[in-house]
Order: sequence, then C-alpha cells, then structure tokens
Amino acid sequence: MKVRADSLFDRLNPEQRDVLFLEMSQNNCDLVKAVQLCAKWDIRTSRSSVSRCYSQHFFSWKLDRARKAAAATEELGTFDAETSRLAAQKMFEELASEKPDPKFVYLVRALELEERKVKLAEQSAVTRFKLETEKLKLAERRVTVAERKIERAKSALSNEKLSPQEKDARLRQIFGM
Amino acid sequence: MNKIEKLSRIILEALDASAPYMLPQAGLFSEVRQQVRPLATEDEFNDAIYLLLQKEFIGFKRDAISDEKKFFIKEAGQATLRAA
Repeated sequence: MKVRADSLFDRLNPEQRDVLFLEMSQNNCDLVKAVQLCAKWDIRTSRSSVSRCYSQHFFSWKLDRARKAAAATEELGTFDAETSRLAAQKMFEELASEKPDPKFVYLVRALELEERKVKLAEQSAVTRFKLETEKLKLAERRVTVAERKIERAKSALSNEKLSPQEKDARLRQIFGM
Repeated sequence: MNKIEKLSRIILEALDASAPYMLPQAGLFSEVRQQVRPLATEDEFNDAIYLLLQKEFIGFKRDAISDEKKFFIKEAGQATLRAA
C-alpha cells in the first residue's frame, strides 16, 4: 500500500501511534478527539487524514502489538511449554479481536509502560555514568596542570641565577596572580 | 487485480503479521472485509480463503471447544509475499 511521505502515520512517533490508536479504538473512532489529541503533540491534521491513517494502519498496528504481547506471555516461563503456547495464543486472539477485553488491554499497556520506564532508567544510568566519567577526566587534567605548575615553581625557586624579585615575578606568572 | 485476489493478498498479509499465532475466522473476516471497497461479502471472503487453502499458502486448525477455524500462514504463503 502506497503511503504518502507526509502521512499522519509517518509524522507520529511510535508512542504517539500507540496512544492515538488506543484512544480511537476505545472511543468509537471519535475523529474530533483524535484531531485534538494530535494538536496536543503539535501535529496539525484533519479528520479525513486521521480516518485514512486509521483505516490503513490500525489493523497491522493491532496485530503487531498483539504478537509482541503474546510473545512476552510465552517468554514469562511461568508455565510448561504447551500451556505457555496456549496462553500466548489466547493473549494474541484477545488483543487482535474487534473488542478486546479491557482487562487485557490494560495489562498490556501497563507492561509496555513498565518496559519503557526500564529502558529510560537504563539510558539515564548510561548518561549519568558518561557524565561522571567526563567529570573524572576533567579533575585528572586539572591535577596534571597543577602538578606541572608546582614543578615549574620548584624549578624557579631553586634557580640560583634568579634574584628574589625575579623568583617572585616568575611564581606570579606561573600561578596567574 | 480482481477483488478476490486483492482479498487474498490482504488475508496473507494479516496472517503473516500474526505469525506464529493464528487468527480466528470471525475476527479475520471482520477486519479484512473493511479493507476493500465495496465491503467484502462473506462469500467473497470464503472464495479468497478457499483459493489460499488450495494453493497451500495458508492452513487452519479448529478450536478444541468452539470448533472455530483459526488460520495461519504457511511457508509457501510467506514466500509469495516476499516475491511480490
């Protein structure tokens, strides 16, 4: 199916697609509310665009989500292989159906948000680690610079050819006083 | 591409997107019929399913309790989609 490069679907990020399609599927595809929701994300669109987006992409989005939730169910490891497979198939059918049980929808949404939280926490930890590493490197460079200044100061002070005034001037120069 | 062929392709794509899980007949019909204009009838849907089964592009199992057919894509069906 040919999709325009500036289609609403392409302008939405994955999380926005999830929210939009969930809202529409639970609100009888209220196009006005959908347009208002997009406006909150600074995305200008029309009811016809939203309708087109929904009809072209909702089913494949729903199947993809159902498949991921089913796979996660199967990987839980709570049951034996056969039971896990049956539970996963049931989860898939429920989420892929026209009117999924709200309990299933809520459960999957909670799991998705939890997964996003974990990923954000990991990214945050990586960022903090990088920041701390940078701070440490900066501190090490400062120590190196200070050590060099001290060596130069010692050299100036032990230089017998310099008068006391010249030594003083040299120290002021080294330490930027 | 006539309507039955178009429906067949939509069914294949839906089952491919569902793999390795199966799609119940009622749900598959309900979603797929809306993706063609005019809306697909049950007869047209059944014709498309029959075509795909004949070519061994898809298969089905019956639910142990409800006896409802649940469809899945076969390797030949996936190969057809990749080739297109």
